[in-house]
Formats: sequence, structure tokens, C-alpha cells
Amino acid sequence: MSWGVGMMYYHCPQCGKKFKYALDLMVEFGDDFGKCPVCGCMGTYEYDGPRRKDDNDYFEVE
Amino acid sequence: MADLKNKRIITAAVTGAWPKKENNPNVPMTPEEICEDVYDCWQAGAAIAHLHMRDDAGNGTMDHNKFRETVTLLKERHPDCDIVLNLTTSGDIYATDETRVEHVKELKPEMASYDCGSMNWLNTALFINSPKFLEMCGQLFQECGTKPEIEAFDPGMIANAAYYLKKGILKAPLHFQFCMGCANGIPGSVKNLLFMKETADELIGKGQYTWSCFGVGHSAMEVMYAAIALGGNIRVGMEDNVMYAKGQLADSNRQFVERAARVIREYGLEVATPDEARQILGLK
Repeated sequence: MSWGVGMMYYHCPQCGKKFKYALDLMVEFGDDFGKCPVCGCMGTYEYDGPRRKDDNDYFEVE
Repeated sequence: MADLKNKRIITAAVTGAWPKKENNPNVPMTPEEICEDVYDCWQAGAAIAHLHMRDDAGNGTMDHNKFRETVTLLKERHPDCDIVLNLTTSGDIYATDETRVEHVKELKPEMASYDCGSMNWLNTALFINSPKFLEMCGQLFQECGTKPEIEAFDPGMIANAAYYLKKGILKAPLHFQFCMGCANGIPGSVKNLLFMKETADELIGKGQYTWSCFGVGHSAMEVMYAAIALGGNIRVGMEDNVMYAKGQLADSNRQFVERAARVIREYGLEVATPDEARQILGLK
């Protein structure tokens, strides 16, 4: 039993940007995981779960 | 029969318990869709099909009627298809222990999955494989002539398999599926795959077992190439990845199998046929 990548969805408390990180990249990002790609501040967690097809309004940080 | 050392087995995990049409419209859900996908994957080089079932709402189910319907359809529609069937015992985390093995008792598949430990599942629920269940399951598999595919989501599950081997619940030679990159399991990477293999080498004995693996998400390709280089077999399919590449939804399960076959051949190896897989795995 398995399932593809889990995603974590955030918005930036400073600039409001919505963004997401793939859970399996936590090792690569380390302390930067969850940070806003624009401001660099820690995002506000919204929810997590499987990747949705309709989540294009959340920028994927890779 | 050619030298089996140069053969690598491709397992197609076509459906799984979780991805839905909203994640990828090409995930096969009904017995008809699963049957046709399995046949397609077999034609492309898959020697083993790992099967999950869905209920009419698309949720994972362990309904033995669905398993029977799918297996029967495959035999009736495609009598030429000699693929090894590997039926899940973990297709619904809310199923009872009895329901999880009903189809094994009835259909006596050549292989079935054996999840060798419990874990938190997707940060939402418990995926429970109690000692009682694992002992019952191991004994049942022996009675049915079903080879366990030991799914290990972390090294501790390999140690657990070694324990059940010593206890006689599992019989040698063991076959592992190293499941990498799942939430709450070991992250997918070359380093971690090597660690899983070395753990199995120490606990089970080098060359005393067979193994396959897969990586979900970003680690899929890294794990696949590493598995080939390290002497392992590979599992692909939409159970593990609904994306074929970055930003590209998979068109079909066949697409994954075709890529795996290309990788194996480019490495200078050959894709194992189902009968060769039976020999490699020691299936009855």
C-alpha cells in the first residue's frame, strides 16, 4: 500500500503568497522547508494531503 | 532459459488504495479498467501485477468479490496473459483482519503483500499490522502456497521479517518490497536504499533473499536507477506515482512499465518474463 507525494500548503504572513512543498523534499530543503519563496519568512500552515490537480494557485517550491 | 542473473522483474502497481480520478483521470478503478491495465502492462514487460480494488465510490476496499471479478475477467478476456498476480492485503485501513485475507483464502494467488509492521498513514490514520495479524497471515500464506511480498516502509520492518523468519511464520527465501518516500516511512534516496539493502543483508543474509523497490514522488527515478545498479527489481505504476514527470500526469500505467523496461535494457540487462520471475522468486 502506498501513495504518491504528500503536499503541505502554506501562505506567506507577509506578502500573502500561496505556496506548497512536497513532503518528500523535506530532507533537501531542511530548515528552509515551509518558507515563503519570495520573502523567506516561515509560511503559515494551511493544510496538507495528497497533491490535487486543482491546486495551481499554490506555487510549488522546488 | 537465459541467465536469470541478468533478469530484472518489473512489478506494475496499477491502482493502489488512494489515488483517484481527481488526482489522475487515468487511474484504473473498476475491475474492467484494472483488468485492461494489467494486460497492457504485461504486454509492455511487467511480470507481476500488484492489485488493489476500489468500491463503487472509488475508495479502497478489501471486498473479495471485487478481487474475484477482476481475476476472473483477466483470465477470461486475456487467457494468454501469464502475469504473476500479487494481491494486496492492505487495501483499506478500516478493514478487519479477516476481511483482509478473505480473497487470499478464496483465490490462492501466487503472491500477496505482507506489510511487516504498523505505522501512521499519511498523517491521518493508523495502518495497523498487529503481531496477531502477521502471524495469522504468514501461516495462511503457507497453507495457500502464496508467496509473501514483504513490504518494508522502514528498516525496522526488515528486522520484523527476520523475526518471523526465525519463528517459522515466514519461509525462506524472503522477497522484499522496499517502499521508499511514503509519508512516515523512510525517505526515498540512494543512501537510504543502500541502507535498507545492507540491513537486509545483515539480518537475512547476503544473497539469501530477493528484493524490489519503488520511490514515490521526486525519488521515483533515483530509486529506480539505484535499484538496477544494486541488483534489485523495480515496481512502478500509479499506486505510487500519478505524475510521469514534473508537471506531467501519467497517461497510463503502461507508460511507467515501458520506461522501466527501457532503463533495464539500457543498463545492459533484460526484463524478466513472468515465468522467469517465478523462477527467481521460487514461486510454486
